[in-house]
Amino acid sequence: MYDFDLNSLGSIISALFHVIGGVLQLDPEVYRVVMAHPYGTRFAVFILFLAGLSSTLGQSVVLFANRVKLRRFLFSLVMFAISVVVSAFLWAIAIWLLVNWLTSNTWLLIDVWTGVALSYAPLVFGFLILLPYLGRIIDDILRVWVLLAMLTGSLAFYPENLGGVVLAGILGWVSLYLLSSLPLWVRVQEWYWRFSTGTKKQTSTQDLVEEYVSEIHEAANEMRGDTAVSGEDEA
Amino acid sequence: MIDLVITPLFYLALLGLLLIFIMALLSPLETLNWWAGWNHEADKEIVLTSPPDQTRTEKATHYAVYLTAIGGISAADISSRERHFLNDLQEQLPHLVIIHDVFPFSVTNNPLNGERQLSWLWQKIHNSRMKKSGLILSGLIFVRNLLQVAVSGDPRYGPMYNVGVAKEIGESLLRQGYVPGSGIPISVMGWSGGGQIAIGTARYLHEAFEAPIYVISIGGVMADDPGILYVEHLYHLNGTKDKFPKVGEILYPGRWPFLKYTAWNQAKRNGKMSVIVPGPMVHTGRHDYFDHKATLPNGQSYLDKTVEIISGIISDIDNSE
Repeated sequence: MYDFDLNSLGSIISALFHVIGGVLQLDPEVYRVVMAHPYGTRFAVFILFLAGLSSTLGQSVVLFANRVKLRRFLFSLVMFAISVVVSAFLWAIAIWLLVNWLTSNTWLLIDVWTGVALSYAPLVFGFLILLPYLGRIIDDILRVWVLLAMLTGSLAFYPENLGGVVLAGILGWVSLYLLSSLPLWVRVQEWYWRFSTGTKKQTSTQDLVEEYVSEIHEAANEMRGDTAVSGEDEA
Repeated sequence: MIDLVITPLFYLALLGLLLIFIMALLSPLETLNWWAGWNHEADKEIVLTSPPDQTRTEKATHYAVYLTAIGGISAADISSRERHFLNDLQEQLPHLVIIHDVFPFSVTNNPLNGERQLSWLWQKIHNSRMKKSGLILSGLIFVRNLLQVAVSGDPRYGPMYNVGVAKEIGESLLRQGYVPGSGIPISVMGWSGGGQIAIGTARYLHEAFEAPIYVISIGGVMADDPGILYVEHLYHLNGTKDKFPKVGEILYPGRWPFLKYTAWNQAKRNGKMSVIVPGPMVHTGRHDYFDHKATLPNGQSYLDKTVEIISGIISDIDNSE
């Protein structure tokens, strides 16, 4: 049974450890306990925000590469954590619509939203993505873990028609993927990047490094020119 | 009684692991901080601290850059064995300009005892290592530098790290009179982890100086870095008793032989790599590539054998250019 008392700061921290631990262990019971609590949804969204913050920190190399200033960097971490929350919410809506359409069951959006938010708990370890070499492997492991947690959440509520729920989850993800490819969505993302980071556009690390190399190339060639001119003067 | 010994040892090991974990987590920050210009703007200007040595370089037919192994704390503090190696190589090849003032485990060529907050600690560890009293603590230097090798080999951080080190090498080359665009070959020699940095910087040295880049790895531990595609040829010296280079082969999937289309395997297919077995050398310490006391059955010292092979490689490159 889970210690899920949200009456004091100490008990909230204790509940955080218990709930995150439960999701990591893929225990369906933790979903039931959180959803039964009056503040369960808020609590799950708080975990989702922490997960978003941590995974954004883990992937912050893109912010460093684009030379985002320190204050903007901190602001961007919060903004991109919020974007994780928003995309999880959109995914929850897609799953909710598809589950109610594909299966005979009628789910409440708030339950799906709580379940999806809770399933992001493995990403609280997203900061580990920063680790050189191991980070990329950890990134993959955490993403698979989130999917497994999502499956566990579905098991907790709808074990009879798990296939339909899984299909809804996959279709929900596909529809979000298609949505993110739409030109309007791409423009929104570009605006969000500019607003969050204060830089003009997101450029890949390799492109930025290539720009830097051409500047070194030019500087070296200028130096060659200077040396040749001073050599001629001496002559 | 056993508990009295085992419990503290267990906690000590746990503390050690925690320390390594924190070091690993923070290891990319030096590079990221430099690139983002949080401390100061990323210095794009190429700065010469002294004018190019024209008299020496007019005769130069080849430039060689030496990158030390992960045990080093600075380019200035390389071991006397490495100095012997460089001196002997210079004697063999008078027209070769050798550069060894770049510390490969710092993106800004900042030695561990240079301008950094923990320089006093690194210097203390280094001093105790010299007196043979702090051999365990000296492991921290290995771990710290090994993590920088991992940063160099990581596709997320590697481009920034490697271009930073390439810029430092470039500045040193210019100080030594290298003329960009002259086509004079540059060989980057890397021992152990220096081998990875050599491969990582090759692309940017090639692009910035329009130069043919060769890499000579001395027991190099190398990742699956795409920089290999910009190397004219990789010569990898691997002693029969040196198992460390295997680490790179195992850990980096791009080097697994069955993944045919990786940069590494593509370069291998194109005949851009040669593995040379110099003898029964180990990776580091006694009987390594720079040991002048250990000898081969024909009486030649390990050091002389290494010098002979590398001077042969450089002469062959010069003859073919």
